[in-house]
Amino acid sequence: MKTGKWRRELPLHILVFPSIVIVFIYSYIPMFGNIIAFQDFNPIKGVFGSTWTGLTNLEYVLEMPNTYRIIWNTIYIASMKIILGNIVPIIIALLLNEIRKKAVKRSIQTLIYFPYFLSWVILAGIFIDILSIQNGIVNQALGWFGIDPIYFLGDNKWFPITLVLTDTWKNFGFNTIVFLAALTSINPSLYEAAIIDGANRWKQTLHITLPGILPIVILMTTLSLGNVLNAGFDQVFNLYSPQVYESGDILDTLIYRIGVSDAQYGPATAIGLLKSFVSFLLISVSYWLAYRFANYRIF
Amino acid sequence: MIQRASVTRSLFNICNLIFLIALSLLCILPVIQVIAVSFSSSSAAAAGLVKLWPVEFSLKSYEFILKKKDFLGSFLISIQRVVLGTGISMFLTVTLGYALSKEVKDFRMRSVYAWYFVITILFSGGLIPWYLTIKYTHLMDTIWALVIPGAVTVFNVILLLNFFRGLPKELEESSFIDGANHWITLWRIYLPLSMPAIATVTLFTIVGHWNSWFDGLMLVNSPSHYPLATYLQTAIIQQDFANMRAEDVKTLSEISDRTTRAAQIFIGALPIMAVYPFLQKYFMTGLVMGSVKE
Amino acid sequence: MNRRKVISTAMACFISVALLTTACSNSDNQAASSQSPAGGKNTPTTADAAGPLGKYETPIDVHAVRGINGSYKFPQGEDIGNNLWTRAYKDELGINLIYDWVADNSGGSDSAFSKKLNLMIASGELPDIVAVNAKQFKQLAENGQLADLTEVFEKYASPYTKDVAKQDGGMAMTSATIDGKLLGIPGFNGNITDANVLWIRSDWMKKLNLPDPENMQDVFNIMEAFATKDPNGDGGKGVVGLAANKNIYDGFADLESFFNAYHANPSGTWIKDASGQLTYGAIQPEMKPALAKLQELYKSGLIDKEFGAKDAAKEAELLGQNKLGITFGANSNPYYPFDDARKLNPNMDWKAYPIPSIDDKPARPSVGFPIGTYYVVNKNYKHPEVIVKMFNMNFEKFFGETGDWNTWGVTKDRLEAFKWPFVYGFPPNKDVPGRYEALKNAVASNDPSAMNGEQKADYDAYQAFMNGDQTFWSTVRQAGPENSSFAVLNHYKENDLLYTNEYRTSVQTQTMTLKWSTLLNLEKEMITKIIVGAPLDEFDKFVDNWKKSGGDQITKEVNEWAATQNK
Repeated sequence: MKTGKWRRELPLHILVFPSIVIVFIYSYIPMFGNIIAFQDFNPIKGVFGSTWTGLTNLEYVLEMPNTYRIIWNTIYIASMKIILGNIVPIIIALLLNEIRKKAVKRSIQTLIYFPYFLSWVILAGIFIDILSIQNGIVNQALGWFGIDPIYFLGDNKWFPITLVLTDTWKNFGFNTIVFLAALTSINPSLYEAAIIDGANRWKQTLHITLPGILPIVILMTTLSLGNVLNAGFDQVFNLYSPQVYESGDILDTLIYRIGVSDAQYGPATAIGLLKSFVSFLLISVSYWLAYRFANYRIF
Repeated sequence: MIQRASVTRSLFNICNLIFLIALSLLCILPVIQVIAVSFSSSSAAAAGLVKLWPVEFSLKSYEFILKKKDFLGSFLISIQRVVLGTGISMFLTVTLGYALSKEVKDFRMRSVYAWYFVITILFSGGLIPWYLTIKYTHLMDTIWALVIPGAVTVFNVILLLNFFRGLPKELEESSFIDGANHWITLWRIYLPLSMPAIATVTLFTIVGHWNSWFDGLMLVNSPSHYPLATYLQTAIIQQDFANMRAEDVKTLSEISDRTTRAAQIFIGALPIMAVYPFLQKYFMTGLVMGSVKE
Repeated sequence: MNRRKVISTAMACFISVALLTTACSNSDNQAASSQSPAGGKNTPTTADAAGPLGKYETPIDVHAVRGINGSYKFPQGEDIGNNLWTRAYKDELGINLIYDWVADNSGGSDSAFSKKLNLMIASGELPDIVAVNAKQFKQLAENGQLADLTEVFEKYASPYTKDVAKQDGGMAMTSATIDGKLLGIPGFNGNITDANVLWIRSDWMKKLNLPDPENMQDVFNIMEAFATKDPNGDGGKGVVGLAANKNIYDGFADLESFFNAYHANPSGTWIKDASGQLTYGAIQPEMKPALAKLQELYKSGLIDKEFGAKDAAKEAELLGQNKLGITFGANSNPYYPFDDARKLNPNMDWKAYPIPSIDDKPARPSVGFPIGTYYVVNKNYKHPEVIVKMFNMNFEKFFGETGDWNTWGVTKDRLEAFKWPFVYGFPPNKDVPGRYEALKNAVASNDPSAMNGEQKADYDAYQAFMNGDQTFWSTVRQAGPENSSFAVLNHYKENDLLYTNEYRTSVQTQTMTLKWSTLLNLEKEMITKIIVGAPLDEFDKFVDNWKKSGGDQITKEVNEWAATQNK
């Protein structure tokens, strides 16, 4: 009996097997490789031959003069992105929902979703050009209103704002579509009942639409909690320069620089591990919250 | 009463429409501006005269970059990468998604496997260990380094498995009664019914491969073997001049640096623009069905 | 934009390099061959593989990686892996140089090349030969990945190469020697051209009938005269006595030299104290009188009131406005920024002086450690001597009897061929006394026949200038026999006045990597504050603060390093 079941399931095991192997090699082994965070890693001696140094690397990283500022930058930029990245799509989805012509709605959706598919390399190239202080079109446009040119990518005051705004610009289309789907799934009979009760559009929005999408809003916000330490390596790396390290340097760019530019493998891995660990806690908590309050399960 | 409400209502509708149209234009104007710059003469671009339409139309920048061996080479490498990478990735995603979409009673190890994959979302290896692993498995400097290590994208697997689970159970059962095995059921029953979801995941995979640049930077040694995104990252963002010839410098001074950059950006984004309209009608449904389930 | 600026700077460099290869990048044949006892005696045809320039009968392969950048230009159809030099390696030495990969090296340790190399090192791989920075050198040495070149150098280095290695008193070679083993060949380079000089506007001196300064007191008098006696003839005020800039130390409007005049050595310089211990220059009591004097000068309006907001380039704008007549700066100041200002004021002329002293003890300009690159060999490679042979060939082709700079250094099409060989190093003496002496002798004897093509260009420039061609002013004020910056550098050299940083390595200690930039900022802030009027106690506070904020720990580490050097 048991073997029969086993035999019946065998094809499924076979289907899973290649993925298991690839994930083991390229995800799990690097995870174990994180132990070089506790070593004075010497590539010749390898992971098993290098000297163990305990928490020295971590202490070293935490002693670096900029570490705390960088942690702050990371949390600040990421949080702003999460907040704006949820509010804007909700508003746009609500507005878009008011449009009755299917074709118009569809066209707008198509356009606002487009930037999501361009990589930060392409977008950084574009933004460097249009935000340029010399003849970038944005500063030209500001000039028509008599505003002095703003050095969006070189001024520490503006750089984080630029990061948050361009990120929102790129990604809001994606969440808009998710919220829009939630909106369309609201039972139309609720609206019909409201109209009979004499509720106007505003009242309907307040009492039916918003409560209707509240679960998905809570869900999306909770899930993005796990991203508080992910301020966006691709974006920052392609847009920043030494003059805005002060306001724009984030954990991932720091890891890259000390690991790859400075060749300090142990410290780089140590700070990466610290980041992973905190992220792990945050994601676990957010999934648990999502499960608890929105009855969400990953699969 | 009703009259007044409908006046405010239509006023709102008009404003709303104007606002949303403006917003959607805002999403493509930067791209259009860069395209306009790429087709303008270098002097017009350098003087900042180009707005949304080319000024003194010129194809010089395109002639320059299309003559660059490295640029064309990396374009081909990117295509190779997309084809290979999407093929491998989709095969793994579909098979894995199918297996994990089974109920625990039909596949006892399902939960264990599922957690095995989910853990990789929760916790990741560091940059250096990741690099070393790829090095030790001898993928460095080959196209496989860009294709194999990230072949299983757990996010896509979840999307697909959620979609599979939404399909009626009866179809699968009747297929088994007809004597089909898992493999045939997957191909004959599941896939044809899942085209929106498959299209969505395929699109994400293609776009992901076309766009990813960091792995190329880390795992490919010779700049002449870079995929296009990595090439663009070094050429546009880092301004990396490798191996310049005297005549390159001469041509470069004739066609401003700004127009060349713009032209490269446009060509880099072109394939995405080309596939986008075809696939977007699938992915909206596909994405929504996969991620928001009830 | 920042990026744009980089490009334009790169372009500017490129153009100026094209114009100035004669002036800057060149070396003197005469000094070289007169100093190399047997340079060029080895002809490849007769030697075997054992000789410094001997050929391997069966060509050997050597794998390398390479950093290049936009300033590397090649003739049609050639590239870094196939050019004049790679062919010479193959045809004359039997060395088949193969680049496994090539990447951009602009941006120093942040460059693509350096990052890729770091990753290779992380994975325990190393090409047969490679150029590394000081940090990578230390790391590879500690990992035990490098071949010991001690014997190889002894056996294969040509007499001329050995001579180059001795020109700086063995400083470069010592830095490449760890635990008694020579683990790399340093990319030889001089630091004499790092020394600053004092520049004074000689047309103003003449106009006001002022004598050459002998000491700092004279300089103060000249400042006073420039500021009050209207040397620019516009009747108004606004002439600044002494140039300064917000970074305090720089190649123009520099104040490090001012401190040197007071026998103080700030700006990253480590000095030996009475007991032979290394200690940091900027925390020594010698700083105080210099600071007090700067404060006084600022108060009386002799230092630009706005220097705290201007970098050197901004301060240089005063030159064009005819408002600045005295600055400490690099030997290349005639090219930049004086030349630009002369376009606006053709009568402007400058003369270089040694940094004067405040007392009767001569001032010693401090200079940094010059070596940043080491050429190393993988310990598993069978022919470690190739790297030495490449150096032999480098010096021979550039400066030896069988070589010619105008073929191997700069081609007929003005391409900089000196960048193409795998190794990149120059005799520390190449500019001073090299080029300087060559020109001086040729002018004195009216005979340029002993000069190589490059020095000949100096000579021609000099002759043209003497016949009234002002376009060569910069060359003559830099390399000319008198009143030039090279004349001053030569004076430093002959009187052994250069003070080289005692911390003779480019590797930062552990704590330095963490704290150094902060400490240097403390130092500059303190100096700025005192100049603009803070009480001198700020200096004592700074010293305390410096020590507490990691300075003591760094001093300890620097002395630990020094201890390993004396072994």
